[in-house]
Amino acid sequence: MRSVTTDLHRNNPFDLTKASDYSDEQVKEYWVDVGDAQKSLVTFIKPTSLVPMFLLGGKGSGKTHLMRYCSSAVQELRHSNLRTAIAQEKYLGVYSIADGLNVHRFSGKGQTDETWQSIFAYSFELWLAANLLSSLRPALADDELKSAAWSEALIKHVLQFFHVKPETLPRNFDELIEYLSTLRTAVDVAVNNSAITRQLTGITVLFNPGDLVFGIPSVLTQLCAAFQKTVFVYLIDEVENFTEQQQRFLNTLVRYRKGNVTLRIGARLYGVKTEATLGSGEPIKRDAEYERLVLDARLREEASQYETLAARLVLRRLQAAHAGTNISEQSLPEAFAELSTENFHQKIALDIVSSRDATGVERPHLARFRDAAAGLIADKSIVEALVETLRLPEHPLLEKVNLLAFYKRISRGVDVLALARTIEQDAAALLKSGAAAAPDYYDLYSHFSSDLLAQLYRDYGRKPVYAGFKTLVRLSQGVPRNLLSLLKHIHRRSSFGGEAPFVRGKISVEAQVHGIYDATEWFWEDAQPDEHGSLVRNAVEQFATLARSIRYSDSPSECDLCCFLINPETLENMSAQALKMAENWSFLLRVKGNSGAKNDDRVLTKYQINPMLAARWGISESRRGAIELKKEVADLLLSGADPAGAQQAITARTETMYLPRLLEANLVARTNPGQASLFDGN
Amino acid sequence: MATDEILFQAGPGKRSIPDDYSCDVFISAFNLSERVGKTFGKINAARKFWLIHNEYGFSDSELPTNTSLLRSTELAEADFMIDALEQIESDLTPGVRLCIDMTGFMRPHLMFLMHLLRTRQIGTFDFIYTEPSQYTRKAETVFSSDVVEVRQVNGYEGTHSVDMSADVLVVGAGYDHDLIGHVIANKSSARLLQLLSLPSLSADMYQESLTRLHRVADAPVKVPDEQLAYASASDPFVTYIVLVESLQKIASRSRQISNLYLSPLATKPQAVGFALYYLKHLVGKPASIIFPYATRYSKETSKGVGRTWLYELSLG
Repeated sequence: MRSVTTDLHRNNPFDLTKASDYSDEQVKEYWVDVGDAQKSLVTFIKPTSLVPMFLLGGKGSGKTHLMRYCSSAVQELRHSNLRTAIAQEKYLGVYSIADGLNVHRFSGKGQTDETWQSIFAYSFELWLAANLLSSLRPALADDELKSAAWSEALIKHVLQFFHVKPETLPRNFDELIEYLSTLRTAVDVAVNNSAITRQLTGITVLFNPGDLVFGIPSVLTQLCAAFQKTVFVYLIDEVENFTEQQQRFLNTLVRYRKGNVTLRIGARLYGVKTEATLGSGEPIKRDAEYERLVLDARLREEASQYETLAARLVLRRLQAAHAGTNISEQSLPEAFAELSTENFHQKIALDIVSSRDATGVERPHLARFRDAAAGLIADKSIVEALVETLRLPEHPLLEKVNLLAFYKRISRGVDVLALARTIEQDAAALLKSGAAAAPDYYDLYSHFSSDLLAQLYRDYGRKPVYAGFKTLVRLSQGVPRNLLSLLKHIHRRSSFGGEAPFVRGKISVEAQVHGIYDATEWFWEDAQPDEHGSLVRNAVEQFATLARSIRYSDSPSECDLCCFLINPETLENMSAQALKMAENWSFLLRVKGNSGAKNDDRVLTKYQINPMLAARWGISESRRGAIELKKEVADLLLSGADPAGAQQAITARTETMYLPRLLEANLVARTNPGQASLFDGN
Repeated sequence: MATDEILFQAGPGKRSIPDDYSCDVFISAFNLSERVGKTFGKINAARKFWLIHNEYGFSDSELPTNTSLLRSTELAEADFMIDALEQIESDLTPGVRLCIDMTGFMRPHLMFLMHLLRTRQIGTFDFIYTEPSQYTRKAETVFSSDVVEVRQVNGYEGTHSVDMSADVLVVGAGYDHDLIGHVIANKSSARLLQLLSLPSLSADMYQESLTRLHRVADAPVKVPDEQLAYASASDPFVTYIVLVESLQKIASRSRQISNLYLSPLATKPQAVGFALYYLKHLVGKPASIIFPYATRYSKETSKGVGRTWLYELSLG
């Protein structure tokens, strides 16, 4: 018998991360929900509602899994019988994925756009109609399929939609499917040959647009009592592959939806290129003619539902890998080691500094402070007294809080030694009596502890730590594939390190850190923003560089900075495009709700650097701090037109957060900036 | 089918170009690589033409002035090639001794040209290919940037099936990890078969192409053995045979392939091997060659001049 250890060790339960890689059985097997039937994810796309819906979402947000879960093949697996499934669920899901249509061939080759538009519409409708009949076939009873009268009636009704009848009539259901396929193949051949011949010969459009898509379900409803109350749902996935012209046809189907037929159209965030319809081009109207759901944004809004979904997703994968695992939703977080925050991160911080401390070398933050102060204070004994007062050897993180408190409170005219002593007393009070004894000091600690810890790691040549299941859920931002990818890499790192993930012991912080960094690189590479790739990547790099510059400064203006407030309407074209593309590709997330600017009534939009990328630059994954970017700076960072200018803007924004400028700016009189040492030591 | 028999169908195989080689019409695609320019100068032909690909982005001042240029402003490979070859249409008749240097060609254009020649009853012609001694920046060589779309290559667009449950994607993996990622993402529901180039053009190129393959974001973490096949980077006939054998193996192990997609992303000879296989076995079937199209390509990605190979093709 195989052991749990062996199975989980050898097989990474998170290897498969894409629903398009799943078989129908795996779509069913890996399905998890956020709640009971009333709160099911299926209710998000309301398959029995006749109102068409655009289901949008970032890559890996679960659109394909959700749509395939509603497909006839998986309906059949859920109920062992498609007819029963339709009776119970009251819909038939006809799933089509746009990449199979190879839509780009319907262009060029010496033909006009209008010609291609009608040929594509014809071919696509034949595709949908054949797919509809193939999807329904398992639900038909033998007495229907074998009945000559039933077949004759069906074929007669369906052929009524055709302007020209075939020479040889189909005799049964399968031959009807074959007939539609033959017509489509003839179109394919003509389309393909036109690359050489420059002519589209041999294609006769045999029916009016929409007649088959809406007409065949109506015929089936008439002929089969079992489907009288069935909603026929065309689930059309990956519509971002359609050209704008092709999407117009889809929009026209949405507008002229008829009878018991509806559409669910899946696309990436950026996937909808037009809302125009064929003919006059009048756009379809949101809410009146269709609904729009952004899946990952919805899951981000409903954070507790997403947490439930995330835990169940992991457990389902573990169960699929081996049923013996006894981890529950509640105990899952215990499988991941976390940093101990006990006694103000004392143990972690001491671990980081201990080896270099043993060599007698000064801690970097203290050495920097001493150098900067010595440049401004002539009396070296005062410098030494300051260093010694703020030094806290047994609490390296609080030692950094001491320095930060000093930087935040210092100003010209302040008695710096007295200030240092007050901070020293605050630290002692906090350690002795807790937060209430030194509320301001504790407030500073609680705001900046993660930034200061990240600085400590970096100063000692180590990567900042992201660990714990809750952190993973936060990093994944409502996108299940992100979570699976994080876990895939963490599992691999953990197994490679000799651990037994989810079997024995906890997954070490080291394995989590390495796995998260791997997943971050995957995320960065996986998004392929087409021809705007370098523009978008540059824009996000610049944002992240600014956030990183602030986080690792001696006195960050904001804690856990990963958000920017921008007024997109004021941006130059190139910048606005970069911002839009970065959002479309989920490098940046638009944070719901607008924010007013601090000093006037301008409405700004908040963008967060996707936490999946946080590790790439060592920035925070928590959404706390945000800074406003004025138009000029935002344009410099986003447009990529002036890299030197962008670097200058970042330096200008951050230079007073770094030593020695930080001290100079606060201590040296502005009226005489050229004078090096006005500070008198009082 | 025996290997000899398969080869007999496709042509006599790969050989070094003889010193006394000559032809009636010679066409080469212009770029700045030394191996393209030197070969153009050496070939003995009654008429020689430079084909100017727009993707290289040459300005007029960069182009050769002493040779006839074949140009077009059309974008898609079919429109471009038909337009560009119009001025020498009278030269391209059955029986012409035609030689094409594939070294600087864009792969879709090269493959479409094979289809076009076959349609025009020029079923027998020669390809030559000159190896580089080294790519310019080893594993960091960028061959294409900013992929705009992944689509079927003109002339290699099959008649596809609605059933997509057993689609197969065969990727000829080369240096371009970015290109591979695009193709895999485009046919995400297809089962992946990777053709690695072995032996490579030179010993260290195999290692370099593996290094780059590992950067493909969506590449499977574990690749079962049956998903890997190896083909020579410089021999289209071996590529052709490997494709025949690999796809036979897949067909015998699993159920019928619903749709087949081929994507040659390594060398030009590999692209020719893929096209050869398609034209011999896949026309009219649910099979296509797909390619990630970029807006621009590097004008020079290689150093030095390696061996020049001659491939005499018989498309029948």
